[in-house]
Amino acid sequence: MSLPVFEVELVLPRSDFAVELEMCSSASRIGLEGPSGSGKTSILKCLAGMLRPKTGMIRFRGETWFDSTAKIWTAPNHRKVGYVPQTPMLFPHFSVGENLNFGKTALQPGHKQFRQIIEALEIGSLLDRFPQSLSGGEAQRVSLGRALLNQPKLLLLDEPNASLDAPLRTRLRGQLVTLIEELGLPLWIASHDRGDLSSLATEHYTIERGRLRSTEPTALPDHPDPPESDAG
Amino acid sequence: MNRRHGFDVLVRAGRILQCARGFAIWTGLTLLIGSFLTKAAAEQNPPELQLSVASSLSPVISEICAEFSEPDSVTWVINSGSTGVLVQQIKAGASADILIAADPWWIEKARLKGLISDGYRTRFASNQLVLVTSAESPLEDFSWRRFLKNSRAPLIIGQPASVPVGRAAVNWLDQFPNESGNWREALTSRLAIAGDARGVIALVRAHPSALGIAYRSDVVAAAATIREVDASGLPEAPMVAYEAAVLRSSENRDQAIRFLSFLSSSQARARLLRQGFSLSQSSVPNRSQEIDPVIEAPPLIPQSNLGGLITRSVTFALAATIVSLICAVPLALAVSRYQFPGRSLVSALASLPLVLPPTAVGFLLLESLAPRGWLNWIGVDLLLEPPGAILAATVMAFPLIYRTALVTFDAVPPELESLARTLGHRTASVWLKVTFPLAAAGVWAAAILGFTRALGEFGATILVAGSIPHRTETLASAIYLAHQAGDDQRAFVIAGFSIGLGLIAILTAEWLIGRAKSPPVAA
Repeated sequence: MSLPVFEVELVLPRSDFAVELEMCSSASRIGLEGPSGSGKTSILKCLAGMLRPKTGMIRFRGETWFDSTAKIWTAPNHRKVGYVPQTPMLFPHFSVGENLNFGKTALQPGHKQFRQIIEALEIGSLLDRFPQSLSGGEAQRVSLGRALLNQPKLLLLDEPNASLDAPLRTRLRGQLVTLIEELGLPLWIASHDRGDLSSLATEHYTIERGRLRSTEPTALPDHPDPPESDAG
Repeated sequence: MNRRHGFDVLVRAGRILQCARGFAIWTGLTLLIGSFLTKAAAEQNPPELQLSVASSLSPVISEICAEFSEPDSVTWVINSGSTGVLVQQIKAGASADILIAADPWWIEKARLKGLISDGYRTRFASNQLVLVTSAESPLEDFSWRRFLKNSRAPLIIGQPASVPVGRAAVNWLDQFPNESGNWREALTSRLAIAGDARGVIALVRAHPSALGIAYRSDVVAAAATIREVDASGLPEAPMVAYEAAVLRSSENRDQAIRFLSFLSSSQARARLLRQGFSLSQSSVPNRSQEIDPVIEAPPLIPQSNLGGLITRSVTFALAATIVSLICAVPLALAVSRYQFPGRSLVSALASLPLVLPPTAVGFLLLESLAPRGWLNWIGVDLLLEPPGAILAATVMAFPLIYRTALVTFDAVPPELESLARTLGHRTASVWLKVTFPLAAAGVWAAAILGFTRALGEFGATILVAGSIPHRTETLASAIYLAHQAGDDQRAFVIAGFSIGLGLIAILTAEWLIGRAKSPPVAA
């Protein structure tokens, strides 16, 4: 058996219920499915270091990011994760180009991979614009690009395609899968779009009111593209 | 959807109207009942006698009023202030029955303006000028020459243009030996001007090294905190006479006249003597008798020129703004971003001066800076000094800057900051590159609001720093002093400059905020 990629055990009290997660997986691409408000975003934020669990431990490829008993905490700026929030959060005082370049280890425009990412996300023509002038879909792609260009070791996608229209979503999903496979990038994706989940994740967990329905991954859905189920 | 919405709006508007009508009826009833009650009260109340009393006399006059027994007793309303200001108030139409003034010059002025009833006028007491210091003053073996030459200590006098003790002080000072130079030149930036006789005592009490010119009765009344300085060797101290007069506008003439004669009764005289006043020889002067040589122009004292006034005010306000920014912005960021014990308390305390009367702030600062105050104890001595003015303005501008900065920081989404951290930036770098640029407009606005607040600060500043021409006098205090001195023209000019400065500040703020709000959107 190969070494686990993710070992996560965490308790995070919230006002409504406590998020309690316990999983260990040697898959590198994890999908989280569950209704809105079930704790998906909280879990991703814990992985990113934006939220600090009360107790538990988070380990990624043998590297401990958090351990409440050993009092270990790795600050988000040392984790090298790319977090893509559900609603794109671009820096309003920066142009698209400056946003993309904001990551401490961001790839520079001359780089081959820079062009590859920009082209895959179709954001090459937006570089001089400012976030206020972007459509929801454009902003979401820039947000994704900003995370990818910083050369993360782990990508965290929170409903990455929620603000895209259907044709673009299918096209982008294809591009994203190719890109991620090429970069060999581990990721967690939280979504209630089965199509996204099945095409991007290799292991699949369902979460309800902060807890996993089962500590074992559920079977992946058979159909990569089920009929649109956009119920939010 | 829309129609339904429109209906909702109508229903809501109807309800609001109903409430408003109810409120109107209720208010009307209250007013009606209220007016009946006040009318009834007015009919039952004993006649009201309104006295405008020179501030140095007001304590003893209150005692005399209490002794003045009338069959249907009188309700006393005592308005105390500097004689000059009282006369101005009466001239402007303020209702009063009796004017009790220091310095017959003022009564004569009021008579010439037709404000007092001819014949009903009495000179009943007088008061001697003395040099005073705080009881804790280190001044031993006082020498005027040494004070002029070697000391930096302020000389505190009343505003000569409106305060009789100030006018008499200037006349007295003019007779002082001037082999060591003219006192006006020597004291240009050490002359602190108080708004009335009691103001002189308050300033002397707070400033242990200061010398003041006050009345002997003040020394009797405040023996615990101030003492008289031996002035032997100096020209004889002048006496200031007190006169009372019935005003033409009085609605209770009979009672007012009876009170005037009571002022010369043995009871009243005993009171006056006990309080350190002297008694006048002639009780009721003849109308035709020339009272005093009437000096038309108030004696000259150093006055700040306008340029200096503006420069000084702007410098003080800028300094106060910078100090406030340095303290308030980090505090606002900490309160906005971190949870720590006592956070709400800290925030409330930081906002407190905003809701306090400026004079309360000034008083507390004065007490802290005065001898035995904690700031004085740790070695801060800023009273009547420019840094004192800056301190007062800082304390008043601080909460405005703090609150505005806090709102600004609260408006920057913390999520944006934590996202910036996932992109590899340290906390300090996130503040520098994300938080501050996004908060810049608000912080600018905070700074300008604070600046205008500091520029207009008066209540706290006048208590802590006084209003020393060429030293601590600012636009705000200069307007007040000019008005008190009856120099409306100067007050208008300074007010005009204040309006100009305020407009420039606000327009600059709007321009800055407008620029910061809309980052360039590339075509």
